[in-house]
Amino acid sequence: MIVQLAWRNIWRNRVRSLSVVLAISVGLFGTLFVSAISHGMINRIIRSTIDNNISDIQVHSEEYVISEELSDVFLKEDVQPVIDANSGVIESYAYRVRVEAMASSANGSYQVTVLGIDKEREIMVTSIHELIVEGEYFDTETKLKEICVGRKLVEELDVRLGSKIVLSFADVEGNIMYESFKITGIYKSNHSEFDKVTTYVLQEDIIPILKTGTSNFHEAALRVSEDHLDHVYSNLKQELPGFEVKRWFEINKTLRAMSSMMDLSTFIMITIVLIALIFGVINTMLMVVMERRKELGMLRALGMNNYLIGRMIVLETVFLSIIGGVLGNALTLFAVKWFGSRGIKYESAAEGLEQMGMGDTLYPELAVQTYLAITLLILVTALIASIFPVRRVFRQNIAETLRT
Amino acid sequence: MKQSLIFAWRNLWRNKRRTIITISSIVFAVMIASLMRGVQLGSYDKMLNDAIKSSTGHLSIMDKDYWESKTLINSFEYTDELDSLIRSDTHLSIRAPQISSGCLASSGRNTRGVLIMGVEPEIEDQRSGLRSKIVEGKYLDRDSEGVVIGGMLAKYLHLKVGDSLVVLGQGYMGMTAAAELEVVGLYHHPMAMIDKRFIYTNLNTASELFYMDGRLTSVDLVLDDYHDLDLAMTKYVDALDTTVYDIRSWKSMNKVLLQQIESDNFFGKIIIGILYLVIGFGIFGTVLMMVMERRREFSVMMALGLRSSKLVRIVLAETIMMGIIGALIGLALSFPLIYYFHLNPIPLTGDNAEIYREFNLEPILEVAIKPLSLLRQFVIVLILSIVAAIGPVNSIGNFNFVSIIRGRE
Repeated sequence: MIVQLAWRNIWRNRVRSLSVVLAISVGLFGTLFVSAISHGMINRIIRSTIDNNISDIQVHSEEYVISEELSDVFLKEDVQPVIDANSGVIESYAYRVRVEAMASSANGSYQVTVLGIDKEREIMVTSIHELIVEGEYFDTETKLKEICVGRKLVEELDVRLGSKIVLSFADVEGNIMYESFKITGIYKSNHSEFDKVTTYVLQEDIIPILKTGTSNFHEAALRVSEDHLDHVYSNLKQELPGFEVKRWFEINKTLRAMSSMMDLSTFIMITIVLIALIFGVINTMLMVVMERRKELGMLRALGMNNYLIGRMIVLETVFLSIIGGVLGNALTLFAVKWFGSRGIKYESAAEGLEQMGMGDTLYPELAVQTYLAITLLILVTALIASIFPVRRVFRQNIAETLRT
Repeated sequence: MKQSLIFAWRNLWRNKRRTIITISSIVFAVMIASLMRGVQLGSYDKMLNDAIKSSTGHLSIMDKDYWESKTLINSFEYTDELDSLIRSDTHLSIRAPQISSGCLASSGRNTRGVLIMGVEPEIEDQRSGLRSKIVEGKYLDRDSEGVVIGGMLAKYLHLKVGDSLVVLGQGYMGMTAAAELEVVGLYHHPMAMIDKRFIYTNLNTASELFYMDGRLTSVDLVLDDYHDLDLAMTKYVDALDTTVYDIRSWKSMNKVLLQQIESDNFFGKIIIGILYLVIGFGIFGTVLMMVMERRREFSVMMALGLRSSKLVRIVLAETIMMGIIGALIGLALSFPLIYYFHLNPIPLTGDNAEIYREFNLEPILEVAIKPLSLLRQFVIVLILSIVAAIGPVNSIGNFNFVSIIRGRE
């Protein structure tokens, strides 16, 4: 009965109730949508870093992690049996050799990282082959050694598809080697800094020059579904002594930190807005009890106990907040769905965003937990906001209020 | 008018609790907004100042093709004429001629791609404070032919002070550039990119290494007073042959940074907009309540002949007073905080610091004192309180005071 009473009470003054509901829903929608956009940005960086660059798990020799020397390789035969033993949960894998090099054209030179890849296996691990914007992913009929480079590097070196560039690097004995490669593929990811420094060549072309040995590699990249990540990680760690097994967030430590920093700032933002809301709600509820002084006094005089009256006022506050909360959440849900699939183009800051690895389009997204957490926070807010008005009612002298 | 103001002021304190709650909400919003803006604008200023002072200068003179393609082919000859032009300019605080080019640096079996920066040691120290960042060995002096490198690079290459490293790259006109250089000092730079990739050496050493023979890649100029930028721009554009030289302003050299700032600033403004919107609804509720609970009183006054416009004025004055009081208290409370953090920037630690380094920023939160931005909070609150009052105040004119007094409404 109290529930029904409270529900009806909030509709007695529509303008006032609506102003509270609107404040809550607009405040929530704004904060949530802004954090959805920033979450979208971060998740995009994380996903594309995993997909294009580091994969879910990487295996290196222990020495390589410390000094990153060309000679710190591992033997494929040592790792393969372990991968095979876990083949049920490892989705795909690829071996790579890595070397720092100087890429030069007639027009300039730039420092790059050269990844020696296995053409077939790499497709299953990274998505570079999908990002090719010009030429082919190692598919042309050329006798020359092929190289696949980023759009940004092509601009930096002022070269074109089909141009030859010279890579200079030290081989395993420390001799500086020069080798020319033909650009047969140009890719473009949403991270321009990555595009500038990452190049791909075939293992059969680069390994003989590096002289590291045909079945020696620097890294193994593994794709594992999220549910199995920790499980595979601990298996590999156990079965590969002398190797350094790392999950994506251990390889790029800032990724997860960025994500948690974003969570924190979302939380702070929402707390600020909720505090701002509390002021409004307290005032409205104070107005409600002041206006109904007589009525509430009458109810108490007739013997309705304080507990019930308190509950009624708390319920009214909670109802108002819930309506506002549901409305705000629904608006956000809708907007995130709508823009999440279409994206928001941000032309004027495209270069800046691409340099941070976000691409030029923003795709908002928000985790389900955030919605739930928000709903809970709103309820807490409502409870806090109703303390004052309830205390106010209890302090009133029944006889006084009825007499005037 | 005076009477209305007195009325309004006394009315405010008839329901103290409500007035205090409303004012607190405004105080809260103004404080949060001015602190947030202070931190944001402060970090933008820092980013831009760092970029201008230590990497691009307010102005930079370079070959007309250098910006698009930063290679030694696109270097320019530093003529005496150009030198005297720059030296005669009294508005400059820093004139930094430099040669920069990518190279491979190796030591033993380890090789890394690096960027050689040929600089005048004293000027570089003025620009970036490099001398104070030296943690081992010593800084470059005028005649030293050695290099100073970052601690991270030293670790990769297994180098100590006194060791030598071999650099190998492409000189001017594509000639092979190679030299063995002694490491005279190690520096620790907060920006990872510089710590990992930059090698500083004397301008002369770099010039010999790359066969530059009096050529430079750029001359960066930092002005004493930023406001002279346009003047300086025109001066150099007029004096120099623009078919040979390119004179770039910091704005075009920091385009990406400016865009990142712009997008961050945009989100910051939205958040504050939402905050004020929510506070606005609160003010609306308060004004509505002020009008509604005094319906009888107003009606009686109107029945006695007071014009409703006067009542409207009183209620408006009450709202604006609350806005002004709230904004003033808010600003008064936030100013000491802003001032304190302006003097004592907040150093970031742990993961957050890592993120800053990842984006090549110094992990420090600086807070700016921007009178204009503070004033803006004040104006926003005023406008907000007037807008929030419009609806409720309007209803005063529509009172049917006869039936209100009779208690029918």
